[in-house]
Amino acid sequence: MKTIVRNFTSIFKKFVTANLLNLLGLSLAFASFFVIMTQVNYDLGYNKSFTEHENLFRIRVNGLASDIMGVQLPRPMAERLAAASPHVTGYGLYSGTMFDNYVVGENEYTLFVDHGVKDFLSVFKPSVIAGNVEGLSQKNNIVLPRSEAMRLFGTTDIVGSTLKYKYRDDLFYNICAVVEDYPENNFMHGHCFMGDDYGEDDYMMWNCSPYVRVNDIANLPQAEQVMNSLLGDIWTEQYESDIAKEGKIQVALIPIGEEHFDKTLQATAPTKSSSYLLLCFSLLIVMIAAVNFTNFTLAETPMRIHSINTQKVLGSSTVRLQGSLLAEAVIISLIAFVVALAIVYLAHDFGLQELVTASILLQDHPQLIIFTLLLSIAVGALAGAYPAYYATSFPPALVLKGSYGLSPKGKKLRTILICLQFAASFVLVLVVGIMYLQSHFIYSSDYGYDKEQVMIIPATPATRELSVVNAQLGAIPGIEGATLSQFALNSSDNFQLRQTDSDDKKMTFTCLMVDWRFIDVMGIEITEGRSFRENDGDVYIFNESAKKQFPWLTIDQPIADGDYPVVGFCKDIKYSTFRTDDTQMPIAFLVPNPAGKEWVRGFWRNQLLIRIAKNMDKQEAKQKVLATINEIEKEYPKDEGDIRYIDDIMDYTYKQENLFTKQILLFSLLAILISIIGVFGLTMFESEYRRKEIGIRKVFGSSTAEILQMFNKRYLYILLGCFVVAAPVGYLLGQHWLEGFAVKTTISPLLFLVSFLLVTLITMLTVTYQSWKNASENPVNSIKTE
Amino acid sequence: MIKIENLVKKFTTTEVETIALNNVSLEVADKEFVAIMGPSGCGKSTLLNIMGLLDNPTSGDYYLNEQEVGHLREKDRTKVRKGNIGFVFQSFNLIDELNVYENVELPLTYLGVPADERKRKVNEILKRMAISHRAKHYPQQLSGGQQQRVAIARAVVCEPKIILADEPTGNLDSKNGLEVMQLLTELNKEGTTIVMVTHSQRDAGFATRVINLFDGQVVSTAEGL
Repeated sequence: MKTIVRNFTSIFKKFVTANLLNLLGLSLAFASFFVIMTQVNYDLGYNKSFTEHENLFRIRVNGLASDIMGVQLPRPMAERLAAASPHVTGYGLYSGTMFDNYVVGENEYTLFVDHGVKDFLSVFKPSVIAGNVEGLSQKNNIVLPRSEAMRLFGTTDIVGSTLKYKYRDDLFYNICAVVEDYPENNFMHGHCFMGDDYGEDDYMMWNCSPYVRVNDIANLPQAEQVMNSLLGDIWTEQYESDIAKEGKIQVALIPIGEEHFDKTLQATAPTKSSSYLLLCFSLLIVMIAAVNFTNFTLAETPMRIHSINTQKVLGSSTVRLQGSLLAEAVIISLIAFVVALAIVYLAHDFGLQELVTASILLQDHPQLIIFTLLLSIAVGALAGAYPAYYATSFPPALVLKGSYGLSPKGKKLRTILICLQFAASFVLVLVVGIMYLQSHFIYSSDYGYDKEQVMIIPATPATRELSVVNAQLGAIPGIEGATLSQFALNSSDNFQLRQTDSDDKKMTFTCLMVDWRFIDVMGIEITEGRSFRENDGDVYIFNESAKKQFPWLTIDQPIADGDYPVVGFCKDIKYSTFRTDDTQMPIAFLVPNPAGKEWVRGFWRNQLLIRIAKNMDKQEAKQKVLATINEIEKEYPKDEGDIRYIDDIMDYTYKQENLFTKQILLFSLLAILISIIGVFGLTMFESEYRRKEIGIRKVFGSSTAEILQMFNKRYLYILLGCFVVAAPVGYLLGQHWLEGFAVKTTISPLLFLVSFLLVTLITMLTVTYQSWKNASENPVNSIKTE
Repeated sequence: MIKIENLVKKFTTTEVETIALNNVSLEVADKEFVAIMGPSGCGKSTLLNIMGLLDNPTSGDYYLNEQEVGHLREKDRTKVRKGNIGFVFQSFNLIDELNVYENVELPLTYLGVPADERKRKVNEILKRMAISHRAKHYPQQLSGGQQQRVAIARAVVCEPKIILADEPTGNLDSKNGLEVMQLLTELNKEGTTIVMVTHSQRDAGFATRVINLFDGQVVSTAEGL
């Protein structure tokens, strides 16, 4: 062993750069694996920290005009549905999270409080430290998690203590229980809990998310069946409609662990396939590094084989030698593991945390650390196994006689391993390329309106007075006008749908209520008829697709009996996200008449839209508009974060996709870096082994350029072969990613060319750089080494 | 053909400066067979390397075919060397990854000789060296004598004007050594200039002239055959 260590140390010193790079590659791979796995664990384990989470479900009604309606139900409906099945052992009605300020002693604290109906918490079976969570059934009781109890009181022994509501001197909340914290990947993480008691008989207030606990998941179909039957009765009885009895709307019990991936609940929700893709990527990176490690060890073997076999001649057993070599590989891998933890620890403060939703603090992931440790041992053992066998597999007499640096067997394996690395790198580059193409497509597509020139601010009472707003903003050079609308375009896939009642002119279309200036402020092109006018009320402008789909739509004619007239048609616009293909979907803009029908008199003036001139500096415009708006709106002052451009809204809408793309980009770059480290090291070894050959070739007339060409040619063939294999895999994975979008970019063949050239260029540069020294050396020196 | 004047070659390390060749002057005529002899470390191989344009002298002049080539850059040395000088080494210096045919073909490839002509020339020379039956074999599969025959084939395949041989029989038994010397003599008779470094009096006996070196200086010159 001692000789092995000495031999290894001397080889390490001889190729210190290559060996350090190998160690760095392995460390980066383990660090990447750790970071990616925090994200994967976070997503796939979301809400799975609830006790017996597999029995916990959310009641949802599918098939309603807007999906978002079905996830929150009126309290009486939710209670009746939950109580209907004998298989439901308990339920809780959750309303949502609010934050507010409370006072303890002299100190003021902001608390995030989950509200629900009465004792809604019991169904989640929290781990109680002190008190009783059923106390939430009583008014003004509150339950605190351990972290908040410690923050506010410094102890968990606080049952019976009170919190004062900051804004009322007479309102105190009694702490009835302290529970253990849920982990960060749980929607109740860090939250306090309060029970409310309202809406007991109100079938019009859709604000309860019912959670039920089922005794056995095998009984799920029966439970759903009973609830569906009751839903039919409730719908007929309360809403005088048979759509539930006709099966058009149905109850579904959604596992609580699936909520995290539900785009209806949250437009920015991740997809499960993203988590699996990340998992694949993390394993791919480790595989690339393991291949590097094996390659390095194999490449070093010929230099050590003489010493190893001398020991064999002197009496050491093959098994013992193999064990020593294996132990050495495992120790290197363990060193890489320690370096990886140090990288994660240090990178936390340098922006790495922003790349993942989950905390990457080492102390938060003891199990993952152990898993990574075991993985590093496995990688070390796997990477060291073949070289250990290989180095000891020759008859000692044969080895002592000559060099095995160029043994065809070892060379073949090294080539296969390097092929794996290149193939993986090509796959990653292609997938990232496709993701970026889609991202570019989303941001640069023609939306049918001037998205670059419109800023959006949440409307408040004073800013709804457009005459004032336009007068004051009009004084700013470059501000071209302001309008109001119900929703911000491209922020959602669930806009309000309208249906006509007419038998012969049945229509379902997205209806967006807007101020009359909307069409002009947004820069939407009118193709027939006219735009809205100042005195318009209860009139529509439809898009071209609506005109094609509903041919009876005519200018100045009502769209159906008793409905409103159309005054114009506009070009199709992109109004939802790219997850929905809305290019052929009908949409209408409606200017409501304040004195008109009830359904248009509601609060639709939610978004203030301001058009800026094309050449105006966006940041400067933001500052100027903010100052003016705050002069108009004194009661609800705005800050810079309240003013957004459409691109900002899209950044939020595609937050998850953008984050995922960034993650994949970083880890792909790492994978390529690790592969290049491998090529760098191997070329170093190879050019060293072939030093004599280079010398001979030069003696017989080869130029330095021809030597470099010879080295590069070999890698070029390898790269070409790997690309042919990797291109379809990268394409399929990219297509899989695009499945999440209804409107997809076309994958340009140029992407494949660029990917190939990129990896090839980096490889060629590395090979040329590394071979240059030996290729340009005076041949007499290398021949002399014999 | 070769004219060397006041050639000096120094090897300098951080601590020591070694003078390998000290004011060496000599001439080798066209079609001559010259043997360079001397004890180990006297500068024989250094002189041969400079003659073969594998190394530059520290000072002095080296004329090859009346052209000063002693101070050319590596790139230009390669150009002059290519096709004009053939090398035979004591340790053969064949490329392990290439078979016999490919090893012999190598200099022709660098000269840009078309494939058909290469094939013809290689086959011809292998036949002449009586090694064509081993064309597909790799160097490790050959005996020392066979390897040196391949090395000679490689050296002469371009039909160079000069062959520089550095102890060509040093790694061979006497029978194979004799065969190699007979081959070199044959080549010389056909008009190739040969400069050979050797320790062997027997091998030197094949040369037309023997130059003796000692401590980097020419100490004597004697006519051979």
